[in-house]
Amino acid sequence: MLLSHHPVLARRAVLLLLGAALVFTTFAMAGPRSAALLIVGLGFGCVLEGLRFGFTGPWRAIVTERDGRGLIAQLLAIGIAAAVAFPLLAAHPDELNGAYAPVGFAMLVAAFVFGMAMQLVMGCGSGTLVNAGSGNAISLLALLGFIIGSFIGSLHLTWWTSLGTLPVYTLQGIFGNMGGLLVTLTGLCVVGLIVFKRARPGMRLPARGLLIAALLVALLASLNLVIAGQSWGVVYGLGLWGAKLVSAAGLDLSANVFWGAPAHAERLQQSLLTDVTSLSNIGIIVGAFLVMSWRRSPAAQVAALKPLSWLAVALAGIVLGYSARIAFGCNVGAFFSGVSTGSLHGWAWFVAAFAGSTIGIRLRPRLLHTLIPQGAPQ
Amino acid sequence: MNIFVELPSRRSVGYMALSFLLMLLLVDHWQAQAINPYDAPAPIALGSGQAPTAAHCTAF
Repeated sequence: MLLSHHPVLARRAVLLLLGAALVFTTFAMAGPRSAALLIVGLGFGCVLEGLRFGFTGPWRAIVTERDGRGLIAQLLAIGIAAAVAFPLLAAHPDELNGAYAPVGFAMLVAAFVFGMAMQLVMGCGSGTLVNAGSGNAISLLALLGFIIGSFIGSLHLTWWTSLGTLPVYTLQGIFGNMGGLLVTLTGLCVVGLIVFKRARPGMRLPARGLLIAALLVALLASLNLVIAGQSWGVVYGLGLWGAKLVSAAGLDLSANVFWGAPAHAERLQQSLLTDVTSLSNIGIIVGAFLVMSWRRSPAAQVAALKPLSWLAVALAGIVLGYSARIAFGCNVGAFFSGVSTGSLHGWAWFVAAFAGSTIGIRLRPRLLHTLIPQGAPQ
Repeated sequence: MNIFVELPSRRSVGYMALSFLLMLLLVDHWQAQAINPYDAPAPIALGSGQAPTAAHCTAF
C-alpha cells in the first residue's frame, strides 16, 4: 500500500530485491566465495558510478583542463591498496597472488594503443563496464567490441609475447618487501607531485566525495585480493565471455595455445559463476545499473553519432579489448593491481598508456561526430 | 523512434546490458559443467591454505 503510492520507493525496493536475488542465487548455485566476489563487484559498480570515480576522464582532465583531482584520487587509492597488499602478499605467498606480468615490446605498444582507444570510447576496462551498466549507449557497443577484441587478443597473445619479453620483475623481488612498498609509495608520490604541479590552483586536491571513493575502491580491491586470492582484474573475464560464446557456437578452441593450456581450458569448462573476474565484472555492470536506476532522474543519454562514428566506436572497442589482452591488463589489472602489488609492468603500462591517451584525446573530436553538432558526447 | 537519431533512454540501454548478461549466463549454464557444491572453495582465500587457481589478466 505504501509502495503503491510512492513509485520511487517501489522502484528502489525492486532494485534492492534484484541485487539481493542475484547474490542469493549465486550463493545457492556456486557457494559463498562466488557470492562474496559478486558483492565486491556490486560495490565497485556502486562506488564507481555513484561517486563518479574513474580513470579515463581524469587522464583527459589533467591534459586538457589541467584538473588533477581525479588522477590524484587514483594515485591515493593505489597507494592505500598497496599498503594493504604488500604485507599480505609477503605473509601469505602460497594463498595470494599479485598481478605480476612481464614487460615486453608488444606489451608496451599495446598499452600505448589501449590508452589511445580508451579516450575514443571514453572508457577503460572498468569504465566501459560501469558506463554500459549505467545506460550509456556508446559504452554498450564498446563493451561488445571489448569482449570480441580481448577474445581475439587471447588467440594471438603467445605470438605477441614471443617478440621479446623480459622476465617478470617485481619491486619486492628487487628491493625486498618493505623496500618494494616504499619504492611504490615514493613513485606514486612523485607522479602525484607532477600532477599537482601541472594542475591549476583549485584543481589539485580531490573533494571529499572523491577521497571517500578512493578509500572505498582501495578497500574493495583489498577485499578482492583477500577473498579471491588474486588482484582485481577485468580483461580476462571479458575474453572468457567471448571464448564461451564462440564455443557455444561450435568452435573448438582446444587447439589454441592459450585456451588449450590447462588453466584456461578449465575456465572454459567451468561455470562463469566460479570465475573471479567474471563475477566482479558482472557485479560492476549490475551495480552501476542499480545506482543509475536508483536516481530520481538518470542523466541524459549521450548524443547520437553519425553512422561512421558508430563504426569507429565499435572498432575502438575491439582495439581496446585486443590491446588490453596483449598488454596483460587494462587500467585495473595492469595499472591499479599491477602497481599496488609491486609489478614493474604496472608502471611501464602506466607510462605507455598515458602517452597513448594524450594522442587519443586529440583523435576523439576528429573521429567521433554527433548527428546534432552540439559538442562531443560525454 | 529512429534510434539512429534519438537513442533509447539510459534505463532502456541499462536493461539491454542486463539482458546481455542474462543471455551470457544462460548460454554458459547450458554449456559449462555443472557446479559441484561439495567442491566449492573456502569462502575466503586468505587463511584457506589453498593456492589460488583462478586466472587473471596477467595470465599468459
